Amino acid sequence: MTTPSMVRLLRKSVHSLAVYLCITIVSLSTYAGCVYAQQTDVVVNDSVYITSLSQAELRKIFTGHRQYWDNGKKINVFVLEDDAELHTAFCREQLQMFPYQLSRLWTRITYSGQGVTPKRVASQDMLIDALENTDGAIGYIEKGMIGKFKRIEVKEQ
Amino acid sequence: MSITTRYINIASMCALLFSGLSCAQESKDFSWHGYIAQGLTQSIDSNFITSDNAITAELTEIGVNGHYQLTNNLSVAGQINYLDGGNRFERGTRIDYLFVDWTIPDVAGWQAQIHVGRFKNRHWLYSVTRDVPQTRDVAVLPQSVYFDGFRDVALGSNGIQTSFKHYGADAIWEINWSYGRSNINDSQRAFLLGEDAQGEVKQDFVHQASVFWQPASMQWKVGVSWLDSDFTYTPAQVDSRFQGGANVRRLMLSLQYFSEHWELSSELLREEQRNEGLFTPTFEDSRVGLGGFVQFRYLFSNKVSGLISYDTYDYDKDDRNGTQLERDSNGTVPAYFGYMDTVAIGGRWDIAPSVRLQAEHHWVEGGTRAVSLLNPDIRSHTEKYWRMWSLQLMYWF
Repeated sequence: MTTPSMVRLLRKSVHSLAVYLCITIVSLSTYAGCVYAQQTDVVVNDSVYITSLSQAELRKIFTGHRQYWDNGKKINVFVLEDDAELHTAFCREQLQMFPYQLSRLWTRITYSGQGVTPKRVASQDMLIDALENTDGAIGYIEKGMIGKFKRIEVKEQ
Repeated sequence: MSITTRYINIASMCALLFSGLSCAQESKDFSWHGYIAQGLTQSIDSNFITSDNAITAELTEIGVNGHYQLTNNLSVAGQINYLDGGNRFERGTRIDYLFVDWTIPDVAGWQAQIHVGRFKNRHWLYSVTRDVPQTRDVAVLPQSVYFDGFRDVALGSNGIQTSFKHYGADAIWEINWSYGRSNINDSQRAFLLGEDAQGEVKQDFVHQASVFWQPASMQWKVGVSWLDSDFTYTPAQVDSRFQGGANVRRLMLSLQYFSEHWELSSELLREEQRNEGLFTPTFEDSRVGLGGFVQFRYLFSNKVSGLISYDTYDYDKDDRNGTQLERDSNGTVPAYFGYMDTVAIGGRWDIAPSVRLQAEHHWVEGGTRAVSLLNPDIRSHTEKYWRMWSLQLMYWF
């Protein structure tokens, strides 16, 4: 296929795709958030004194925009890799984001000098170990799991 | 730059990268990160990336950065990188950013961040990390907005930048403001004024502001940004150009939509440029360029995604097919240099958590963003229809 006809064909396809996307976006926007059975709990290390956080505060912490607890202690955020099911569930339930959105925000922060991003760990056992043994740590676990950490309530307001 | 200097630059950057890797990446107050990317690329029927339709490995990006937390509210951050993009921009090592960051945690519910030094432009969707390969969907970003001919000026500035963020229950707001200037290198001078110009181009200032809004659902991101910049030209003692200046104003709208399996990004711009002097002592000229892109990415899985995009730019809104441009130049500049329309497809495969292979192919009609309109060999530089592709392997830590 020659370049002119390829450009014309692809341009036509992009135009059709744009119309389809507009329709899809409008219909999805009117679709109020799905209801999922909660699969994750947000937990902190025993050294952290708080018992609850607003969803906005939780987002600030997990997007690298809040680095210290109110008492001046460093916040250490731990997460699993993007393809871990628990990480996907946490992003959806607690942050209302998709894992790729969060990853992109962290890359943006890391490579433009805007701050420090969470530490990734390879397995749930490593995540629990980090949460139990790191001062000022925050992360997530499967709902109902018991360990030497403290659950915190995430409030919508 | 000679081949030897090029290899010395790459070797130095690699040494820095691997010393960063071998050090502990994280300490209590200090962190290191970096990236290395190498690719193959070609432009066909245009010298935009490579000359004479050659396939080249001139697609190298290496960077190392550090962040040191001085106190709870004060830190220093810097990044050095080596970039080679073929003919698209000047190859070499640069300080990408180096600034002091002062964070004010809560001002009436807003968090403020002030950067003083050399900072990155954070007013457009991809501007803040446009030279970091793993943050881009394609190696060659849509040229309507991310014009490579003027890349170094658009990347960042020396000056001050402030950012205010509000995380509310209903929405997230971000307001950015910056004021500074950048140095203009020889290749950018040639792009602006032609190869004949021997004097000094100075960016007097660039003043930018932007506002972004995201609803609580985080599915949308909508923004608007404004840029105002002045340039002055001081001719050399023997010079074919005259004292003069230019003013550029850009208004841009940005939009992103995130879904579980796909995302859409789009930016639209209106760019006004006024020139005085430069070509004759009394020369005056102004134009308004219009353009933008829409880009759709589909995530087949966590590791594989595909992309299709359409990008368009008209050099002068009153001469969208370039006929006036051809007439005014007595046929030296063919009409197709008055616009540029590009359709691109791309694919990405995350081989491992920090290793990615990315490929893309662009079909282009027109050449207004491919070459300076003052290039004496403009006709042979780019044909009306041309293509480009690249394949890039990247690693980051």
